[in-house]
Amino acid sequence: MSSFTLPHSSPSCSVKLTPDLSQDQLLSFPAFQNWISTLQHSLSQQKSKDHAFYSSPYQLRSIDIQSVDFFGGGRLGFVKLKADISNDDGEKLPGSVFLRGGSVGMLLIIQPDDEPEGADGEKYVILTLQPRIPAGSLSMVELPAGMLDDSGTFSGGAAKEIKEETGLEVPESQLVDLTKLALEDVDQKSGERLQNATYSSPGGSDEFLPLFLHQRRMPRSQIQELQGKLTGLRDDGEKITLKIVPLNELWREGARDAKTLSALALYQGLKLKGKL
Amino acid sequence: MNGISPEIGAKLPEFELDVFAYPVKVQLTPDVTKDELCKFPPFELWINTLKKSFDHQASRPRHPFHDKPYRLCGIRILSVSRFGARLGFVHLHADIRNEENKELPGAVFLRGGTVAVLPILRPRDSVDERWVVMTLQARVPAGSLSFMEIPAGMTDDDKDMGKSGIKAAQEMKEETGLEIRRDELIDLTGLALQDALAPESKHLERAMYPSPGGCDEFMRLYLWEKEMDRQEIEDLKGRLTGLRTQKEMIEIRLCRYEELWREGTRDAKTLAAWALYEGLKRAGKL
Repeated sequence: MSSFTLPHSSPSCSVKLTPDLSQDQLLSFPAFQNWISTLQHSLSQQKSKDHAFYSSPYQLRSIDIQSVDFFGGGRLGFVKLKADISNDDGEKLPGSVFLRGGSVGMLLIIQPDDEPEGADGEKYVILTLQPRIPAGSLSMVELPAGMLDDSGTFSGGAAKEIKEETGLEVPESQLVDLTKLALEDVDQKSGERLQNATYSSPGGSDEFLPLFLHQRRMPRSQIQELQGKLTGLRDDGEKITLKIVPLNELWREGARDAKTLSALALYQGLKLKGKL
Repeated sequence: MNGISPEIGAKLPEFELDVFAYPVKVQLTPDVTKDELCKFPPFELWINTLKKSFDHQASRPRHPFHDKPYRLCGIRILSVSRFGARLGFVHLHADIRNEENKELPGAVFLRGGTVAVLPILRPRDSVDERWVVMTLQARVPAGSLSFMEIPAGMTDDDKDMGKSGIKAAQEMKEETGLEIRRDELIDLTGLALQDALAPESKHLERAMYPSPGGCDEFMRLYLWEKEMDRQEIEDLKGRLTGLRTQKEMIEIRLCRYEELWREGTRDAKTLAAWALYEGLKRAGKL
């Protein structure tokens, strides 16, 4: 089992690899790069006299890669590791991490164009339905998730399906970054540099999702047509399909999905503050 | 992986799971036995939930995968973590494909159920004032030494919902020092999903899934709302704020209810609890 010393680590942090993972692969894995730099920066804040751990700071001493999983094309997908982060008194922080990086969530709201823009009464939200093996389900209702491609456009399987079925494409200029907006006036007192995003399960995973909003007005007849079309769509073996729900019912329809509830909370909160 | 243990060149242990209508080969790592894995509650629950979902493919003619159902062709355990001797986390890969060799993403991080509490304190002398008890603790996966969340923890028994309420009360006591009774907790996720009868998801947990694309975790969100004399809250503030229990290393903060969604923007469960609380209130269910 090979190991190497993490570059720029002080104290020296040794990283133990698995046979199916090279030093290069790990160091160029964006999720690992991001996690390490965020962690190291947070650890450096302990130097400040008013930091809770100032008198007995924690240090990253070693990392043990336990297992990795690759995507079909050979790209690194998931890394399970154990980090030894302890202080000189031998106190340790829970160091089990499921590393997978971030993606983005999209709150896509459509509204009949004969309604006043500000009214939430007749708004609808587009959700996805797809197999989620970790949840043991072949049909999980979720907020569309994906990535922002190089041009800042929402992309990925959900985006593709949305474009195919509704014709909607969402470029960066038409996106509102809800998480960034919500965090605008929040004082990051800790000095840490966390993502402007929602962390899905910070006790076990690095996963974070910036949540975006896109609102589109369209003729009422088009929305009705869409509703009819999508109801019949799930018969043809498509892995990912869409569902339209009234915004007022989103909290209930999306109650199993953390991203749906999170995006809804931010939307409602920002509306209350007059920021949307 | 070709089934050869990298360390000693010997074949990795395997067994056949007989939960499905067909045998499923499970490849283990040298540090976990068939018995341990099969008795690991999250694994048991995941396998049974998956089976029910897969069975729907055949039993429901209108199921999208009815004509070309997916099968669980194999499971590879990639690594396990333990809490002492007990299994804690299992990283595995499930090989799932249909007759056309179309695959479903099979990366799975198994860790079981969790609970969280939205603890709201109301001063008796005010109509609208509310405070939420929040925790601040190191969360290494997020790269933070000071992450703000509503109190949360892991459950040891996923099958018993009654037990998860007890666990929630225990976590609250451990993390905040507040004594809460099981009957003072309201199951927000349970209430919200009460009427969720869609056949394809009826068998899923009445809980929120933080990351269903990679992890089995399902979280029951509870509400604990308590009226207190203002002085009691002030005393609590003084007592709890800034208190760091050496063992748990958790700091407590009181957050104004109106600021909850902003202070908790980075924490999915805080936002989710707020959305459910607000939704249920508006629907007259709280």
